[in-house]
Amino acid sequence: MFRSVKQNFEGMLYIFPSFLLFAIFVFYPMVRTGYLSVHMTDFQGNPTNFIGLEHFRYLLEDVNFQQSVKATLLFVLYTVPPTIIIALSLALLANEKVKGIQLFRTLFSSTLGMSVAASSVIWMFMYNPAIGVINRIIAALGGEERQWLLNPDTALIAAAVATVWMNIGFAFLILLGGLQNIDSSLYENAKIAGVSYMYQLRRITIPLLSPTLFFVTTVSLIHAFQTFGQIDILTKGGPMNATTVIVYSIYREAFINYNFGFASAQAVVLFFIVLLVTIVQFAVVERKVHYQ
Amino acid sequence: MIELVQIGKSYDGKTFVVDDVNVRIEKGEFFVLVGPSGCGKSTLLRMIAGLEPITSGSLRINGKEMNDVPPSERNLSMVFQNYALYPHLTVEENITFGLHTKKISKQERKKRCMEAAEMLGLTDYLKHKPRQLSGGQRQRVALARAIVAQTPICLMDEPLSNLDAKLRAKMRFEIRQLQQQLGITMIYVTHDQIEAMTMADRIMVMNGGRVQQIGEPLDVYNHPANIFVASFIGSPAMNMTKADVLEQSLIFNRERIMRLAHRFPLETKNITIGVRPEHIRLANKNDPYFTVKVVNVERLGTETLITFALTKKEHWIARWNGQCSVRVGDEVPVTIDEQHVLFFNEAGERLYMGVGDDYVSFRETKF
Ligand SMILES: Nc1ncnc2c1ncn2[C@@H]1O[C@H](COP(=O)(O)OP(=O)(O)OP(=O)(O)O)[C@@H](O)[C@H]1O
Ligand SMILES: [Mg+2]
Repeated sequence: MFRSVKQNFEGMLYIFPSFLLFAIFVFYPMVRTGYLSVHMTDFQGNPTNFIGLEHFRYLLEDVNFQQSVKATLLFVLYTVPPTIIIALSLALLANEKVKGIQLFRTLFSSTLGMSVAASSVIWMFMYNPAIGVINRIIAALGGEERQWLLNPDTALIAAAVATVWMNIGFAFLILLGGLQNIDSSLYENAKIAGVSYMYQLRRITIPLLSPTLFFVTTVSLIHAFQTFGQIDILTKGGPMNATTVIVYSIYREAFINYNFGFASAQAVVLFFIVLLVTIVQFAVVERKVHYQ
Repeated sequence: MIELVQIGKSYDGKTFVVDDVNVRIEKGEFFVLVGPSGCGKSTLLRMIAGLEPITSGSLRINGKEMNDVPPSERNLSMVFQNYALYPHLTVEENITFGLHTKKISKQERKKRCMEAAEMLGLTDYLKHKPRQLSGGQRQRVALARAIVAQTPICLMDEPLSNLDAKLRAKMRFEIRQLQQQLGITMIYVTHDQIEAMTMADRIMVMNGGRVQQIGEPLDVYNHPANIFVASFIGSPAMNMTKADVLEQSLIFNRERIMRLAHRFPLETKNITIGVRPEHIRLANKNDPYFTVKVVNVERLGTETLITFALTKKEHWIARWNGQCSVRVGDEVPVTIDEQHVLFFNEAGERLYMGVGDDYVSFRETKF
């Protein structure tokens, strides 16, 4: 009895430092956000009076917030599936045993080494209507030049394309690692049996890669819901709120309108949306995953 | 019929890991490739399967050149060392994997699967996943998969190396039986010389990418072509010792002399002699003998392995039937029939001498 208490104490001692960090940087802000979301706040973010679920009720009716939820969902749809599909294709290519393939592996994963800010600036220049390379290419091909980031119809897609490009490095690297973990003799047996490439892909690669795919999808989803940096640099939520995703809306509410309580309420909503998506991922999708 | 003509393989374009292999494997033959780790057995097998490009030489199957034919068109099946079972598919799906490409109807696939499962005792496990099976069962799934393809040629790469001794003995027998039942041409890779001896119609001993000897197991055992084969085949290994030649005698480490019935050619100065442990026997009353000091005794039940000191530096092993009562430290008289002594030159090749049935007489000498 004495011993187990002592052991427990010792164990807690070991996790205390990381618990402390979590408490300061994760748990406290979370609790604080929840607390603020049910209060009115002053300009410095101090709660003034308790208002219950008033913020949330207002949120439900707020057209701007609905627009930002819609933008976020569209943004997720535009970024996650393309990222996974492109990264998977590149990983399949880079997994072939060809001379000099190492160069391509490095190249494909290189966006991993670039910060969101740096890549956003690069894309901002590429989208620039006057000097941007994209319009030049389109012009050279005889197409119609566009103001990509200033047109409400294209701004979100333009931001999504840039985001896909940024995220490919990470997804590629993880998926390539997963592919390389698949025993090569499984493919050799398939070769001897004479099955087609698509059959191999469907019957061997995808099922055996499914734990990795699941991981990458889950992380990408969460990541996409929390997008902020590239929106801030490329469009600042415009034009006409077309690219105001939830996190950007939170930022604007808190640090431009100084309405901390209302921003906190949005953050809480976002938290539950991400939580819900993740639960669905684990409950529905993970059942199709073949862990070895 | 599979023909290998001057087959060579190099990964880096400089060194050949398989070099100048020439062999003709007959239809229905159980052909075993044996050799130490890294000698190029798997590489050779994979070249036959088409999984590895052939650097030089030509591979013919039934008279047709196959060097550039893709694996699936070579009409063969392969059992991999690690079984290569698909972890996410059931035993049944594993066994029938790829059969759809051969334009076999669903019923026929099912029928073949059931037959193979029956033959290998897997009927109860058809709905299991590989991870729910024991090592031996997995191995049988791999075998079943090779069988249902009904290809005339089957390649196996050390399929039994992951099994325990008892299961291995059982599977040796099962594979051999299956091969004979189905009349398959089998090329079987192993580094275990007992497997090679017990299963093969013919064996090919390889070392360092080169063929050392091809022949029937007993032939190779009794008439090894060189030192490598002599020491590789047989367990415990053949006793080998370098000796100086002096006219009709061999001198070991200036300690012992062995007198022979024959003369060596004059130019021979150094040779290696080899004697199988079972050919060293306890001397009878009238045999010429030499006395040796026993340094170790291992009683294995049906036989006893006696290690003795031939010279101060060299130990030999004798293998006697039964459970001998010899003890460590004993001095025992032993003898060897000269017909059982093998001679090898300095390059390691076998020297063929006239075979007589004279006894070899050993004497202890002091120089
Ligand atoms: N993909 C490869 N690239 C370069 N060298 C290789 C490759 N595969 C094998 N080798 C070399 O070829 C030689 C023969 O290898 P191989 O796998 O054929 O040996 P093995 O006889 O099957 O040995 P083991 O009994 O250990 O399986 C080894 O020296 C190995 O280093
Ligand atoms: Mg091998």
